[in-house]
Amino acid sequence: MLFKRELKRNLKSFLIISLACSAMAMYVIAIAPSFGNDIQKILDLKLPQGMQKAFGMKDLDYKSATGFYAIMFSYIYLFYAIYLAATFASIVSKEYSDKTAEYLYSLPAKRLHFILVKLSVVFMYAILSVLFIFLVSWFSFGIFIKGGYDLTPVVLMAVAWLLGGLVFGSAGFLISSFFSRTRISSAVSVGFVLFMYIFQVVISINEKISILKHFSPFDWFKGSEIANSASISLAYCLVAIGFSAICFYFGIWRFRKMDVLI
Amino acid sequence: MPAILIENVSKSYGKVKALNHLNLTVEKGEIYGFIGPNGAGKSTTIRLLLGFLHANQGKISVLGYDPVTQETEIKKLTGYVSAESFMYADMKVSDLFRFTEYYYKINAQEKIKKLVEILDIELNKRFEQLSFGNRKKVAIACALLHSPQLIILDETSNGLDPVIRINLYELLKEEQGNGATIFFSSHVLSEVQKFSTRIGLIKDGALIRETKATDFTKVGYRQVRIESKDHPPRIDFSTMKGIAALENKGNTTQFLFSGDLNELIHLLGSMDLISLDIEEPELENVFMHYFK
Repeated sequence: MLFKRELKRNLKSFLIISLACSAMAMYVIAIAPSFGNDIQKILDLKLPQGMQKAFGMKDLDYKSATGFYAIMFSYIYLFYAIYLAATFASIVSKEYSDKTAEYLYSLPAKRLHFILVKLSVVFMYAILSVLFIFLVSWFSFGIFIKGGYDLTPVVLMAVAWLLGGLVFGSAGFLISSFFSRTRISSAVSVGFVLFMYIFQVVISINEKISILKHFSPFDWFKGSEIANSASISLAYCLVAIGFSAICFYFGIWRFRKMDVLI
Repeated sequence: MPAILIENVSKSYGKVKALNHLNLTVEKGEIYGFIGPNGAGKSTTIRLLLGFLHANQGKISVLGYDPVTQETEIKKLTGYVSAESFMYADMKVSDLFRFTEYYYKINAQEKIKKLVEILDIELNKRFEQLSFGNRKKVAIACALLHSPQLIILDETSNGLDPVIRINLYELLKEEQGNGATIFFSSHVLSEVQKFSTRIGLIKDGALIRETKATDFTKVGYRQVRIESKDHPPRIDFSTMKGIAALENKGNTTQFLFSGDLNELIHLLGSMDLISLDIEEPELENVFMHYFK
């Protein structure tokens, strides 16, 4: 019953992010054949090398469709991370903010049950939205790209979005356990995503601080690296999973122990 | 085994101490009225019973279960209505009933029909479209759907119109007749006095008085009300021994008196009286006596 309610409540944001990102992916794939290698010349004229690197546009093979597709990897990653951070930040804390927590927790089930049901809805939407973007991309490749293309980077980019998104989502969830107002917890969580994005841009421009990329989730998964190597860093995948697990664990622990103050 | 057992419980919010070594027992089948001013610790006590808050010290048992480790068992047997009665604003009342039924794993259509009729509930409106009083009625109905063994009400009668208020208390009496225990807090002292079997008075997080409802006003004080032709009164009552809560309004004087009645009557002989009432104080006066 709660699962169904949460599905309905979060449907709109799921549709918006899925459709917006899919449309973006489809558009990039559709224009890929007409631009081809010219895009590198345009970028070189318009954007300094440092900026190209910062926004994940350097070192891409624009002759290949997947190389071209990787241009918008970081943008979808950013939008998706914002979506998950805001959704995870509000999924439980909204009950406190709307003062419905007392009613919900007065029903005969453990607090943990309610928290897990709510988290499972966002998990499901997180997977479905990535799957939706992937399927639209795959479908678009089939329609617009007449020559051959490698599907592996496309699959790995979807995996990267999911893992990276969960890093920010779990951080948002943990952050929300410290605030009683959803507006504040969502704003702080989205602020954290934007800060980390800018952090990544700064690291990319400044070679001296490149060591910090290990602390930047936007650097853990780069579209250019995935497109060029058709692989994804297993170490960073494990770091992302570990970080998310820790944040979810402590977030759940805090919500279970938290006093319900209405 | 009592329905509610609170032993030496303390609860603080930061530096603010909400409950201070509170001890309280409610036996099964009782209607326990819990009174006290705002901030005395009534809601904190109620929230501790349901595991919404965690005590800093002490032991709590509700129907033999621990609210922290056995919350589900307690909630299966308990119906709770909060002071503000917030529920899902976007849901229809009928859906809220279904939602509640689902978690109690019951089909309560008969009970819903009865509650809707008694409390005059509109089923097809969304919760957000209801007035404060109507929201309260929905929350009360949801709390009673599963015929709980323990009913906990926090300032529930606030916002209800007089007819529904009477219906509610009749409904609760009926639940008590079926074996339920009722623990409720209220600011409407006349209702507490009329409805409870026992009353507890909480001040600064500790119980300062607890008796049978019929004995609650027996505090060794008499309520004295004097109407005289003298204005101002010839006697300065404020200097007398055993006088509390003195009030002068026009040619009427009233106070609580614990001194020698003979002495008082002797003094009053010098006044030109219109009327004199000496009676047991009302609960409200006792309340004021403790908090003025």
